[in-house]
This record gives sequence, C-alpha cells and structure tokens, in this order.
Amino acid sequence: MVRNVTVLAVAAAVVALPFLLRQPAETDDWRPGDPVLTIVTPHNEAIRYEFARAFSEWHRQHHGRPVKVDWLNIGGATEISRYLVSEYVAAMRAWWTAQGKPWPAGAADDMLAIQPSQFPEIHAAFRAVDDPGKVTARIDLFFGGGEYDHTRLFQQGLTVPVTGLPDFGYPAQISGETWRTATLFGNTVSTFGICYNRDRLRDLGVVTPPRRWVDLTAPVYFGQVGVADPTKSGSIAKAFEMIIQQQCHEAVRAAGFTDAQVDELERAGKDFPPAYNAAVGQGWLNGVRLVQLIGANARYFTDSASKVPIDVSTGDAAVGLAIDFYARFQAQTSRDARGAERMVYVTPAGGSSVSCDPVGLLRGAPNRTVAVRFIEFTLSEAGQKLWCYRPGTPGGPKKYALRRLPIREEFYRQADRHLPFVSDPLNDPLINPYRLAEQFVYRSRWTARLFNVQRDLIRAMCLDSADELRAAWRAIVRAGGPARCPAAMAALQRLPVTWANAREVTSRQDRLTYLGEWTEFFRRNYREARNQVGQAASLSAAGNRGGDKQDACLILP
Amino acid sequence: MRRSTAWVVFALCSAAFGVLFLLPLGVVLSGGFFVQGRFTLRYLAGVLQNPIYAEGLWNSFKIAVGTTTVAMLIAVPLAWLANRYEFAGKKLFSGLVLVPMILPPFVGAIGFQQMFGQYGAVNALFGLGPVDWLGRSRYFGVVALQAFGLYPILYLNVLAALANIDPAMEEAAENLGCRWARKFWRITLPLMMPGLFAGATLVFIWSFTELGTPLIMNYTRCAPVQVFDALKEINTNPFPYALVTVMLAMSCLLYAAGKVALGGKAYAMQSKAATAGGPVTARGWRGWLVLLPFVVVTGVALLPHAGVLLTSVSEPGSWYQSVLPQRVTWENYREALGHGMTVGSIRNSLLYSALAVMVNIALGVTIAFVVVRSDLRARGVLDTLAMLPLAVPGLVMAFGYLAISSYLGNLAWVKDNRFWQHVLDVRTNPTLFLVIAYAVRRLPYMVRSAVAGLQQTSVALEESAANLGARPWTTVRRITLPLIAANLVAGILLAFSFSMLEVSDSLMLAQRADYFPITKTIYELFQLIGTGKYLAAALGVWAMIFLAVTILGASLLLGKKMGQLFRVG
Repeated sequence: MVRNVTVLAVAAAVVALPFLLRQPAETDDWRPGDPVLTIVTPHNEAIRYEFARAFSEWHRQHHGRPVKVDWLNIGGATEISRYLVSEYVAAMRAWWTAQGKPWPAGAADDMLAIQPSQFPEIHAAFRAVDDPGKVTARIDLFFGGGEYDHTRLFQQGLTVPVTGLPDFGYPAQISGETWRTATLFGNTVSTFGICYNRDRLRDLGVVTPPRRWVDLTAPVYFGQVGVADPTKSGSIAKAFEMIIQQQCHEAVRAAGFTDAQVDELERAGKDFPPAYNAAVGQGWLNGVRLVQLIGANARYFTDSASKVPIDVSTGDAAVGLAIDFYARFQAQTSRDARGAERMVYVTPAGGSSVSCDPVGLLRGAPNRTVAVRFIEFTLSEAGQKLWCYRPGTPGGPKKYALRRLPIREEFYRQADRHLPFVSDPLNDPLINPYRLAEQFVYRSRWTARLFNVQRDLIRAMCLDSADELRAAWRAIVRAGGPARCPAAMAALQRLPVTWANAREVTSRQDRLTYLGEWTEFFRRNYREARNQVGQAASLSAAGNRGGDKQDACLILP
Repeated sequence: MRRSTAWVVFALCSAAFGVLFLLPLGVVLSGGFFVQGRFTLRYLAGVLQNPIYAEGLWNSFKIAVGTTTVAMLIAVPLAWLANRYEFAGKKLFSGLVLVPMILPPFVGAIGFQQMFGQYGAVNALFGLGPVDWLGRSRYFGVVALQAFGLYPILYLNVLAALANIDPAMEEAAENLGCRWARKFWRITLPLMMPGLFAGATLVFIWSFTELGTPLIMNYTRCAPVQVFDALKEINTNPFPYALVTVMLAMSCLLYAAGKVALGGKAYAMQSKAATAGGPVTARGWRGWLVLLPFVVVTGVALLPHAGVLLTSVSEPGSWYQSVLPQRVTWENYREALGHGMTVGSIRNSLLYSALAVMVNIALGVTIAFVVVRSDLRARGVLDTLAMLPLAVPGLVMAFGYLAISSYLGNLAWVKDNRFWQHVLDVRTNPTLFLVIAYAVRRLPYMVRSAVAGLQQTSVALEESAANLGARPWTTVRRITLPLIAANLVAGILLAFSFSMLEVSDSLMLAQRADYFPITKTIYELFQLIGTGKYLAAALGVWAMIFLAVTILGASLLLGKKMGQLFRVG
C-alpha cells in the first residue's frame, strides 16, 4: 500500500513540476476580431517569438490594432516547399473539379512547370487566380528558408508579386545572388564558411588553421570534417556551387585573363576564346575534385545544417562547413572557463557569396493586407534591428539575440550609429556582407546551368560511394599523400563528365540511369585507386630491400 | 466464437484497420507505382536491380541478424537468472528493464555523443585522448546500440515463456539424470522457444527498419537510411516508395517465416504442477553474483540516458573533455519546463496518448479475439498485417496522413464548415489524425499482448459463462477482459510510453504551437542555436523520468505478470 502511494506521489510530482515552473503568460492585448496572420517558416523559436511580438507592436502603432501571428512549423525549407506544393495542387484540383472540369493525370506536374506542355489552360488558370475563396493553402507568407526555395516556389506559381513597397535601400542582385524580386524580399543575409575547434587542431598537430576551402582537403583532416548534405538542401547546394565557382575564377585568372576581360567576355555572352572556355572548364573540374576531396575527408553528410557547428564545438568534428550565424552563435555558447571561444568561424575570402533569407507572399493569402505589412515591417528599421541588436537594447529584441545581419545598406554605412547596440560589429569588413560580396563575383554561365548536375555528381561521387572513397583516400594518405601516389590519384579523380559535355550527357539520359552509372563509375575507380596504392607499396617494399630510403608515412587514427 | 460473429468482427476490424492504416500507407506507396498518372513497375525493378539498394537491403538484414543475436546473448541469460533466482534488487531491476527503450528523440543522440564522442566522457574517464569511437566500426556500433536498446523486448518475452514452463518438466529431466547445460539445451530451450522466437522476430523487424541508430552512427548504407535520404531529397523521387514497399514485403516474409519456424503450437502446459520448486533465493555473495549481470547490462544500456541527464544539468559548453560537466546548473530545467510551449505540449501529449491507447485497446483486443478465438483461415493474414505498423518508416505514414488530411481539408463541405475543419484538417487541429497515427503505430504491441493473454486463458471459462446464459458481450466484459487485464495493462504501458515519444507524425502533423506534443517541443527547443540542446535535454529528461516512473510503478503494481507479453502464435 505504502509502495503504491509512493509511486503515485512521485508520478504526480513529476507531472506537476512544469506547471509549477511555468512562467506567467505574457499579457497580450490581442482580442478576437483583431487580425490574424498565418506564416509558414523554418525559422527557430527565437526568431518566431521576437518577430511575432515586435510585428504586433509595430502594427498597433501604425495601424491601430495588434496582430496575432499563427506560425506553421513543418520542418526545414525542403519540407515546407514540398508541403506547399501538395497543398496548392490539392486546392487547385478541388477548385477545378468543383467547376465540373476534368482533372487529368499529369495535370499537377504541368500546373507547376515553368512552361506547360499538356494542359496550358490549367497552368494559366492557376497563375491567374489569387483569391482565398478559390485556391488557397490558407497560409499568408513563407518566411525564411533561403532564396533557392523561394525562387523555385515562384517558378512553380505559388508566390505572387507585391507592388507598391518603398525602396528599402539594398540591391536586387549582388555577387550572383538575388536579394529582391517582385515576389521575394530578402531581409537578412548570411555567408557560408569554415568553423574549426582549436583544441582538436592542436591534437591533430595543425599549426595554421584552415582559411580556404582547399585547406579542408588536407590529409590531416581525414574523417574529421563535418559536412552538410547538398542533395537535401538548396542553400547547401548553392554553397557548394560557390566553392566550384571560386575554382573556375582562379583557373581563369591563372590562364592570364584579368577581371576586366572576364567582365567584358561574360557581358558579351558569345565568341568566347577557346582558351577562356578551356580555363573555365578546367576550373570546373578542379572545383568538383576539390569537393570530392572534402567528401573524402568528411565524417558524414548530414541533412541537419546545425549539426556541423554543434559537433565542431564539442570536438566530435575538428572542422566543418557551416552557415555563419549558426557557427557564431554556437561558438558563443562553447566558451571555456576563461571565456575563450573554443570554436572559431571564418568565411573564406572570395569563397562564398552572400545569400539572403527572404519572405514571400503566397497565392490566395487569406489576409493579404496584413501580410504585405509584415513584409514591410521586416524591411523597416524596426524589423532590421531585431536581427542584429542585443536583447534589451532600444529597438532590439526582447529575449533572444538573433545574431544575424541586416540587409539594408544604411546599417553598414552608418555602422557607428548602431555599434553600441549590436551583437556583431557591423563595421568589421569580415562581417560586413557588402564587403564580402565584393570579393566574390558570380558568373552564372559557369555553373548555374549545371546546378542539378553538380548536385547529382556530388551524390554519386561522395555519398553513394562514400565507403570506397574513404578507403581509397585513407590508403593514399597512409602511403604518404597525393604527391607520392600519382597513379592512384589519377584513378581517384577521374570524372564521368566535363564542363563542356555535362549538360548534354545528362539531358540524353534518365536521371536514375546516369546516377546509377556514375555511382558504379566512381566505385570502380576508387577501388582501382586503392589497388594502385597497394601495388605501389609492394613495389616500393621490393625496392627497399635494395636499400632505398622511404619517408615516414602519415600516421592516421 | 460463432462463425458468423467471427466474420462480422473480422470484417469490421479489417475495415477499420484498412482505413486507418492501409489507406494512408497505400496513398504514399502508390507514389512509387503511379508516376505521371500511369502504373509502372520501373521503380520497383530499379530497386531490385540497383546494386546500391540491394546492398542497402543486405546490410539492413545483417544489422538485424547482428542485433538479434547480441540481444539474445544479453537477454536469455538474464531472463534465466531472473526466473531461477530470487535476489536482493530483483524487483528494482525488473522494473527498470524497459527503461533502456525510452530514450527521448534528438537528445538521445546528443547524450550518446557526449559519452562516446572524441572529447566525451568515456575517453576522459579512461584517459584515452580523442579516440574516435563513433567514426570507426559503424556496423558494430549500430548493432551494439540497437541490441542494448531492444534487449528488453526479448528479455520480457523469454521471461514470460520461462515462467510458464511447468517445473515438473525440468524436475523429471533431473530425475532421469539430465542436468545443467544438457538440461538447458534439451528441455528448457525447446520449451521456451515460442517466447524466444516471438521476441526475436519483433527485435529483428524493428532493427531491420530502424532509422535513428544508423543515423547516429552515420551508417548510411542501409535501407532505412536510403529511404530517408530519398524522401528528404529536393526533387520528389518515386524511388523511396518502391524501396519501402520492398522493405515491407521482406518484413512480412520474415515475420511469416518466424511464425512457421515455431512449428505448430507451443508445448501447451495445462497447469503448473504444485511442486516445492520455484525460484531459489540467492543470499549473500551468491545474491551479489546473480545481481552483477543485471547491474552491468542495465548500466551499459543506460549510458546514453546518463549522457542526456548530465547534458541537461550542465552549463552550456562546460562538459568538454571531462568525465562530468564542469559546471552544473538547474537553469536549463527552469527555462525548458517553464517555457510557454511546454505545459501545453505535455497536456497535448497526455491527451493524444490516452486517446490513442483507448483506440488501440478497442481495435487490438478485437483483432486478438479474431486471431485466437475464431477458426477463420484468414485470421493469420490479419495477424501478420497487424504487425506491419512496426515495420513502416514513421515518415512514410506521416506523409500518408498528411496527404489524406489535405485531400479532406479541400473538400467543399469541410472547407466551409468550422466543425469539420477542426476534425479533419490538420492545419486547423491535428488531434484526430495524431490519435489515429499513434494508435495505429502501437497496434502491434496491443495485439500481441491481447493474443498472449487470450492464449493463456482457457476457452473453457468463456464456454462455461455461455452455458450459464451469458450473452457474448457480457462474457467478454465480465469474464475475459478481467482475466487478460494484466496483459492489457502491459500493452497499454508500452503503447502509452511510445506514443509519448513518437516523432515523425508529431513533427509533420502538429503544425501549430497550440497542438504541439512534447516531442515536437523537444525538437523546437533543440533547434534554438546555442543553448538549444541543453534545454531539449532537460525536457527530454523530464519525459524519461515521467515514463520511467509510470513503467516502474506499473511493474511494481503488477508483479510477475508484467513479464507476460509478446507471445506470437
């Protein structure tokens, strides 16, 4: 009896604890009848909390009534895109069939295509209707998720233009990235870079921390690099595209072409000198091979972008590819007892574009007026301050430091005005996105049309053949490194396509077919590379009996 | 059960099961067979012919074999000791036996990494420096982690089987000169075989299709991870649905093979002879000796849980290259448990899980009745189908429910009607779909428990009641249900606990903060950069303690009957 009562008492105590610890709900003056805004977002709780609170306050001041923001949390940008697509297809289908018209098989795909091929009337009708009574996902805005997914949704017809907004003082295009269109409004920016753990580097005997992408291919980082998966995230895929772009840029420069000449040639758009295109092609190959070696050093390819900075800060990975604000924030919470940050983040100079995180209006938004005001708010000074100010500062967030960068140029031109209040110094050229963007010039002709090819190549080259790649690379490193194993490296780095023929090869075949062939191709070559190392080692051993000296191999864990 | 009644009941539960499970599953899997509106077997052929997917299926099979073997090596000796001896601490460890299975999602991986990471506690404890446990031998890592997480199922099942063995059998063997190992091999093992195979089949199917552990260990070349990868790809890809179909077909075949391998009925024991036998009390140093394996196994199995617990009390960044966190704080608990989302999500989880359990009981017991008490030929099919929810990846079911809700939500009579929106549209209110999702995913446990209970309850008792004029429903209510109550409670416990910890459906179907269950709140806290994992760990620990107390409490209340679970066929 006593035992039973004890058990029940303990259970009751455990259940009661959260109720006892609950903080009083923040009083909110929203009443039924006041506007409600529905926003789908991958942004975390901190961003949602601050923006909902501040927007309601701003709306009350400017338009008389507070607003309740209903957030829809479905997952990351990819999940949200897929969800929105299925919602709109279902809604369009319901509306279309309610009018007595047939909905043939394949209509859904056609409706979303950039150009319709079979059912132009459905395609046109979908893009003409913007009425919550007819076709709607019952969501007003898509907030966050990266420019890639917003652009794709626009191409599929899910977002609609917003006109009549003032000029907020930032460019529409910069460093090859789109920051603003009629349907997509970037309101914060981020770069992609390298984070590393000081202690792990010391353990590995690394004296100079990594600063460039190519540093991550060093054999000392074998199995120690945290990498996000470009096949699962458009933003990560873009980051890898930029790595390849940088290599193209360097190859072109090495071939003797100045930046001015390149500007001229790309602007003309035709009559490219063969040497120039050859340089671009070679740069593309170099870039893909660089990615391959990063993949060879990779610990994993994770679908969760935040995993990399977390792992680097705990020492589970020595270095990693990370988004800037994730890494900076994580570094802040991984201080040691003396307050020094264990993890450091750096954007490789000229190695990353500056991409934006936009907000977009969805088709058939139930509350269009308030939705447009939300877009206006995110770009107003009040909204921009939320991203970069410290909590508790005038105009800043209330509870959480968001540690992200504003997009409006005046914040950087007038950085001194904001300096006392911001979390990160906006006048630091390593942080100022406009300075960083200047160092990276994006030439869309070099890599944009190969975007999907690059992603598929990375998948076949690094993900589906990961075990063979690692085994071959491990063998090469143990044998003394790439310089000592030229035959093996040649086998390892063979590619099934070139820059010139990639698009043609992939358009000839079904995606699943060439993916399968490429995977087989890479696995075969990696196995050959490994065998080459083995043969060279036994030849060298035989030669050693004749008294040749052999340098010490790299000892790997 | 009369034939006509049996057919009616069979039809009703098949219909319910079909709508609640097969329909959403079919909606999703059809994506692998109907592309651009046309039926095609291309993707199915592609899965079977593609060496990558063939390799993935083979690796999953190897993982399943490895996990089941190791789990057996852990569970069988423990169960034998628990059956044979009474010793100090036995009640406690019997209660703790299910705790290894309740590791909260997301933070469980963190806890594991804090223990075994390069700068983790184990390396610090043994002064090993940055040994990369997680990076090496991924296969053995996966097998070990899964075996230590799943052995309780096998343990409970074997213990139940051993408890049902008539001691007279073993004593007769001893009388005839057969002792020790020979007795175990020739008498005990065959008699407990049904229980062993039951547990082994469950562990096998679970580890064949488990996603979480291979992800933690970055073991990517197995079928569940390949499905996950393909489902999360940017371009919608019909492949994963074909691959899931193959995985499910294999699971069904393996389960059916497990049933056949039992070889007819178990050795039925009508009654336990009244003997002076029974558990031997081990006192003094013998008691400690018997206790030792329990302590060691439970200790190792609970290492990830310890990792989560320690993470939850450590100040951010202070558990680094050390055995324990350098600085301890309760702030994580204050913030996590006091967070605006938390109380609501606890209430939601309790509500969803409780309702799910009720649905589960109704459907599960009905299916069990058909399987055990009727003589319909089709009942074997129903039994096998009822195990399927164990093998279907969570994401796949979540997609299915989402698709159906989306379809219903766009129907005119739902769109314009507030009441129906609240019922059928997960964007407005996900309660109905979450309850169904939880109930269906836990159905196998309830079915197995109820089947075990019905098999152990003699039909004669029900027939006597009928003879005395009781109607069928009265018999069920007043005779059968009370007799199988213990088994039902065990099934309820498992169904409730795992519903509280359910991930995929919770993440995808609960879209508004007002309706978040606790796992989604853990996820949202986890996503907060910086302190996120500590807050999530605190909430995860709360969930673990709550469930542990529930399970421990129930097992203390039930005593030995707790062990009677999961008897197949």
